[in-house]
Order: sequence, then structure tokens, then C-alpha cells
Amino acid sequence: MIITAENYLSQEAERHYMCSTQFKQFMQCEACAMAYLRGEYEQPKSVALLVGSYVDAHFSNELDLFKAQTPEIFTKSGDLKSEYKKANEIIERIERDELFMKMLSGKKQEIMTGEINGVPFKIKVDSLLPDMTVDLKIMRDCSDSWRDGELLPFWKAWGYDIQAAIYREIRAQNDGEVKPVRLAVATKETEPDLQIFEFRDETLDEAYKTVYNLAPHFQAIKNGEIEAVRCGCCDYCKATKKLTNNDIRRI
Amino acid sequence: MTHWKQLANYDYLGAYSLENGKDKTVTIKKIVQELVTGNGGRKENCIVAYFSDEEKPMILNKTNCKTIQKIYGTPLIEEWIGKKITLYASTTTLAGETVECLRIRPYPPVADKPAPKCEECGADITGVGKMTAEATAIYTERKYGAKLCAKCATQRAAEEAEKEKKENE
Repeated sequence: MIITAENYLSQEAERHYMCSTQFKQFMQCEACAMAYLRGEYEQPKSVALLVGSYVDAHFSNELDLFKAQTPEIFTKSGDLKSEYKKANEIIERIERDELFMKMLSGKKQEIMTGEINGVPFKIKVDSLLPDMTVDLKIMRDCSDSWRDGELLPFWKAWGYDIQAAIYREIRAQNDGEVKPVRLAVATKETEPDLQIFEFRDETLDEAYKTVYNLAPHFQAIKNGEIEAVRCGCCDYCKATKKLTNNDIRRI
Repeated sequence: MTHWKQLANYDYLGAYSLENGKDKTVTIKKIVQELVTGNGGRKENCIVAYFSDEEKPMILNKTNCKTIQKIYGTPLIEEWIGKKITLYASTTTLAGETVECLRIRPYPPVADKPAPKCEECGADITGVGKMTAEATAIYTERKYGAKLCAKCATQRAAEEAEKEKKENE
């Protein structure tokens, strides 16, 4: 299957290829990831996600299209909702910073494909520069986040190391050279903050081990060879839970 | 190399127990709850894993228990007996400080996959510099139409450059 900007997010492309978002979905809940692939469940688009997409669309020169396709960003009177006015502030702040803009000056939304441990992968890069790969992130802030009772750096909590490891490997398969991966982060704080992070090789080597070893397992689930396990705590699991007598808890 | 904690004879496995920080695969013998004396003499009931191929047991925190549940698809500790897990050294934040900790890889131990073979000379394709073996194999296949080792790829590149030079003359 040949991947294009038009079919990148199609059901067929999602079934044929793994991508970093899908991989992270499988890591969180295999059953939810499969329900999504079968078209049975779609996670509601959060405002946080849409704000990120709004900024992404601006820097990819696709904002008009994004606005036309996303009516929920407007109020009934046709004004932008406050979150997207904030997104405009973030865009203005980014455009005032030379280095940040340089990070975003690469080829936009560049698509590449490759294989990790025999599993076909697709990536779509925010800014593909000749000597590095840059992903734009719009975050609440850059502080540590709690995951499973543990305080983690934001990039680990959100699986950005996993995403970067996939990007690094797939780009190397296309370019014949390993290029660093950076995160260009802008925050939604009252005064938007800008930060640039470059992943150390060791950080991505570690994340790549996880991708390399888990990808065939997730692919086997996609192929129907292994049954998907329910995590029991995500929205999908809650929505599809069927109580039995064994679930009654003594208090 | 020897971590000083290896000489201190701690009762439980820690990141320091891994030789040169390398991963270690162990087999679960039993999972129990026992009273553990922590720093400052504070006693706490902890979940502890004992292994058939490692002398010291390991205290399982919530993260590590969840990892085993995920790997083997069951929260029942009785079903964890006899299962293999791979331990690795990582870091975590504790009271604002970054400290070493022992973690479980989120996948069952796997045998190393055989390296891809060079379609020209038959040698193993290995990683070149920071390139993984897989990246080298896929890149050369796309560029030269065959999975090649670094040596054959360099030779092929030279041949193609020479051919192009002749064509341009």
C-alpha cells in the first residue's frame, strides 16, 4: 500500500501500518486499540489535541482547511473559542523566536515508511530538516507528570521517547544515516513558554528496544493471531464492561 | 565493574545488582507478601518476588506488578509462577531526586533474532555506526535493490559512481 497525505489516517492505512500513535494505543490498552482499528470505537477528540492540531495546521499552511473541517473550534456566533484564541497567541509567540522558527523550517508533514522487526511502520514528520527531525508539541507545560503512581518527565509520560525512537529508525532506513530527533515545545501557560529538547542516543536506544520487542506482538494482535487484552481502566474498557457476580467487591 | 552496593549485601535486588548495568532474565519462583525493613528502620508490608535462578528476591512496586500483568495478561500471581521476566536498570524521581531503580522490561524475554544476511557475500549485516542492522538492510535494499552489508554497499556505491562518471564523459 502506498501512503499519501490523503490516505495517511484511513482505516486501510491504519490496518496495514503501525505508527507511533497506534503503538502507544496498544501499549495502553490492546482491546481499545483493536476496537479503534475495527472502527467500533473512536476516542473523542479532546480540546487539548485540537489545539495542537490547530497550531500544526498553521505551520503546515493548512489552517484554512483545518478551520473548514473543524467547526467545533467556533462559538455559535462564529468567533474562535477561547482555547483557539490562545493557540493564536502561541503561534505569534513562536513566530517571534528565530531558533524555534528554524526548527520548524523543514519539509512539513513529510511521510516515510519502513519496517521495525518485520512490522511495517509509517511516520509523518512535522518538520524534516536535512540534519534533524523535529516534532512540534503544544503542551500545558513542561513539568513532570504522574503515570501509574510515578512521577515521570513529560516526554516519558506522554511516550515522546517512543515516538522519537520510531522516527529516528524509519528516517535512517530512508536516508541511510541516523539523524537526531528534537522536540520543539510551546506551552499553553499564561505567557507561552518555548523550549527545544534533543533526545540523547541512549534515551532513544532504550525506547527503541521497547518498540522493537513489542511491535511483533501488537502486529500479531492486529492479524488476529493473539487475543487483545483489556486494560480494564480506560474509557473503552469502562464503556464495554459487563459486570458478573465475580466483580462484586466486598467493602 | 562493581557497584558499592554489591558489597553492602543488601537483602533485595536493586539496580546495583545488574552486572555492568546489563539486563538480567530471571524466572519467578514465588510471590509473597512480607514485612520489609526500609531506610530508617521503617517496616512495611511489600510484595516480594523470589526467583529460581537468582539468590536475592526483588520488591515489586505497583509499576513492576502492572508490567508483569501486562506481559503475561493476568493479574493473578499464581499464574506468574515459572514465568520469565527481564530486569533492567532505570531511574525514577523520589522526593524530587533522580534515583536508580530496578524495572521489568514490558515484554517477555526473547531470543536474539538472527542478523539479516548480505545478499551479495552472505555475511551477517550488522549495524553501522548508529545505524541498526535492520536500517542498513532496508536502506541498501531500497537504494541498490538488495540487502547488503556495509562492505558490499560501499563497493556497490563506488561501482555506481564509476559508472555514472563514465556515462558523463
